[in-house]
Amino acid sequence: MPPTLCVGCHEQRAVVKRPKNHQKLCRECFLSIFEDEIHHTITSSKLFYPGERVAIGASGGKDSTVLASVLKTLNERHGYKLDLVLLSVDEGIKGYRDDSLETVKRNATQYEMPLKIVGYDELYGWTMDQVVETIGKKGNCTYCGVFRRQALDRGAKKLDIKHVVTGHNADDVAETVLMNLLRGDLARLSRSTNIVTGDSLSDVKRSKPLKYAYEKEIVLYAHHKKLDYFSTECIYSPEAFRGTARSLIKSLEKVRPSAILDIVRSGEDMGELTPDKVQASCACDDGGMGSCGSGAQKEAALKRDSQMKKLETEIKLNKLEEPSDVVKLPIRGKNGKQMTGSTTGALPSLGKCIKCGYMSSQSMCQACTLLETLNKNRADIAI
Amino acid sequence: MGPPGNAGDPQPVIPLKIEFSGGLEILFADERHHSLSLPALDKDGSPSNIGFLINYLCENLMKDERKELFVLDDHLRPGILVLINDADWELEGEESYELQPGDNILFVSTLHGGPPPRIGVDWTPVYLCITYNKRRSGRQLCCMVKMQLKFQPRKHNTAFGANLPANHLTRFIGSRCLKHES
Repeated sequence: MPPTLCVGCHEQRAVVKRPKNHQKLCRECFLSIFEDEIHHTITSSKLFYPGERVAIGASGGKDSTVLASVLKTLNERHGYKLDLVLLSVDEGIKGYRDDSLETVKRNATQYEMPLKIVGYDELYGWTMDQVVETIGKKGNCTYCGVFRRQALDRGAKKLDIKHVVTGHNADDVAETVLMNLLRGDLARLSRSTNIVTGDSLSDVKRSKPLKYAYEKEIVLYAHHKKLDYFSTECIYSPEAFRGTARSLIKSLEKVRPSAILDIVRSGEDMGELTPDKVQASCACDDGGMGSCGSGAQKEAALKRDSQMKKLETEIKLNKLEEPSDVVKLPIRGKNGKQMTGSTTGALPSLGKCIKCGYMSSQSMCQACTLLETLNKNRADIAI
Repeated sequence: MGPPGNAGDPQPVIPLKIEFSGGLEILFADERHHSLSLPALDKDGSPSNIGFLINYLCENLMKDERKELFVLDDHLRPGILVLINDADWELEGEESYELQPGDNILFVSTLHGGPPPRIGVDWTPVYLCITYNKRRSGRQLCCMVKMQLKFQPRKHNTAFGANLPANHLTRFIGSRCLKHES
């Protein structure tokens, strides 16, 4: 079979078939088109202003490595005049994070960017290894997720930076859209599709410039540009629901490659139609996006909510004395979840945590609440 | 289609270079690069293609019992990319691509951080007694250090039973113990 030629330059052998439009491209054309599209995303959504200091949330994985590389390239090529810094979170998981941090350190040298590492131990006095030793493997993703969210923001604050970019890609967004859809959580769905999350109320804004980039293309970009990245599984508990959503997305992509961007677009359009824009101000969980942690945390919240709901239904039934043979459908009001979650029925207002001063919708932020439980159990472990 | 191979003839083989990345290494003895000779013809006597290679890898090279992390429903698990001599296998006919001698086949997982660990496998603490010599340059200080530690093998290691890969153990000891004594 003669080699397929690139549709861009008509000279080189095509090595990439783009999932979104089946274009066959050679290495050089693919790299430049990939970069151009990120540039387009950045300029069309006006992500940065000249001279802005931006922290790149770097894990050493493929997404953040590609993000750092592309941002450096574009910053020089198009004169964004950005001051780029790598920001890493050290969860304190031996054999996982210490290896990937080495990659980040190499990246810092390769891309000539300063690197800041913030550790869970210095922020919270606990490493994830210690957390797992205390509470076990189950549910530790909740801790990790809650801690990581704050860690990136706190790290950025230490550097006096107000903008953190993360490597979330189209597959991640599609996955989150799907998960929120399956949970019936349209409010989060609308936030998860936003390219910029966090708002005037929070000090640090988050954005995801790779939002429209296929994971496949990110991997291929890293491969063809010979980027140095690290891949390993987190050695602790996987999150079942997210894993299933991910497999579903990948199976859909196999049959219909454009499905991923289509889901992202559908998510955006549904987000537009969601009436609950108020909730966007709740910064206690970011745009509903995230790696393992945020999902687990939401799952925990969901569990809580459903328990609350059960309680509420019982009370109602007693009061109204409805005939017992009527099966009521669980119809909820506009702010359904939030209403059932709080006893007063009012939306939680954003305040500051009484312990750490970090913004929170409760009197004490989630991280501090979790820390209290942990510290109570600390006596149980001997190191 | 080639002629069916005779049982008496030595089976011709195709030398291949196989590479695993993106977390798939853990399924293949934590080795990224493999060189192997694949039978040139499959069971039906047809020239060996990628589909045959995938099965062959599963049966002969995979050291992990979690086949489903590599193959699902008799096909490569969605989310794993294949590059044939650096080109996307979608350009080469995917599973039907007929392998050529010297081909370089790269399997990359795009699944987050590699394949998910198997759920339900418990970590077995292994108690080890480690003795080693410590030598300081200059003063030729030699001492014997004996310690006992609780080693929790990573989930995927449990598939190896008692044969824990030594590199995990050294890494574990290195990260946990060496800093405590200087």
